[in-house]
Amino acid sequence: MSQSLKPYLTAVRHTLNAALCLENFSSQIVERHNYPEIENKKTKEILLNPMIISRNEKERVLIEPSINSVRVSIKIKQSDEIEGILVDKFTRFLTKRAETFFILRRVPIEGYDISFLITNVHNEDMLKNKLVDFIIEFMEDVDKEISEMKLFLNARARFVAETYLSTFD
Amino acid sequence: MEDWRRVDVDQYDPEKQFIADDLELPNYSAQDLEPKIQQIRQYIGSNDLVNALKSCVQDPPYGSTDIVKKGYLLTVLDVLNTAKQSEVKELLSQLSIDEVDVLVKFIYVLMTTEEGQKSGGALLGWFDKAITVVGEGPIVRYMSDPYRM
Repeated sequence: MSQSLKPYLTAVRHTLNAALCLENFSSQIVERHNYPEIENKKTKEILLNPMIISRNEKERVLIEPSINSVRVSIKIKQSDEIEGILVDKFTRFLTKRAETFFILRRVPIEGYDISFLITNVHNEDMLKNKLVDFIIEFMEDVDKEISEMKLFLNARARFVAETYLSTFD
Repeated sequence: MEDWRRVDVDQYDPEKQFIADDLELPNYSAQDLEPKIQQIRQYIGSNDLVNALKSCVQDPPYGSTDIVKKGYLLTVLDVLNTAKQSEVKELLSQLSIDEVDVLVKFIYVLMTTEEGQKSGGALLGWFDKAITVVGEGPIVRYMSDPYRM
C-alpha cells in the first residue's frame, strides 16, 4: 500500500465509524412514511454536517450523515481519458445491478463516480464493522482494478495495432 | 404554471419552519483578524508551532463571511504545512482535547478547499495522528457542530 493511501483510508474508516450511528426515524412531514432523511433533506434539524476527505485534487470521499441514513460518495482517481472511460464503464456496470447490491445508490451524486446509501435497516441487518470494511475494501480494490484494466487495454491495443498493420508489410 | 403538483407548498407553512438558533457570533472583518494572522505568521517564522496552533484554534471567526474564513483557513494550512510529519504527534500532545476538536474541524473544512486538496497528504497525516491521540470524539463533535467555518 502506498504511503499516502493508508492515512486516507484510515481517515475514511474513522469517519464512517463515527457517522454510522443510525436509528429508525419516521418522517416528521408525511405520516406513516419513513424516508432516508439525507435523500429528501426536508427536515433540516436532523441532518448533520457533511464531510469531505480528500487525498488530492482527483480523489475524494463525501460522507453525508443524518439521523437514519448516511450517503457515501466516492470520486475515483482518473488521471487521463482512458481511466475516465474505464471508471465510467465500471461504475455503470455496478449501478445497473444496484438492486442486488443493497447499499449501492442507483445514481451517483453529482461530481462523484459512485455513491452508497446506508440506512438504519442496512445497519441493523448487517454488521457495522463489516459495512465499513466493505467500503474501504471497495476503495482499495477499485484503484487496482482500474489500473489493471488500463494495462490490459493498452496491451490489447498494441497487439491489435500490430496485427492490423502487419498486413501492410 | 407548469408542473404545479411538484411545487413544495409546505415550505411556506410558518409552523413548519426550522429556525436555527442564533449563536450571536461576532462578525469579524479581514482587518479585525489582521493582527492575529500576523501573530500566527510570527510564530511560524520563529518555528514556535505549538503557540501558532494554539492561537489558530482560539476564537476562530465563525460568524464572518466566507472570504474572511477562507483567508483565516489558509493561514491555518500554512501552520499545518510547516510542521514536519515526524513532529505532529509531539505537537498534538501539547494541545487540550477542545483544541484538537477545533483543529480536526479545520482539517475537515480545509479538505473541501482546493488549496487543502493540493496538500492532502499533510492534512491526512495530521488527521490520522489527531485521531490516534484523542480517538473518534472530534469527528462526532464535528458532525453535530453548529459553529461552522
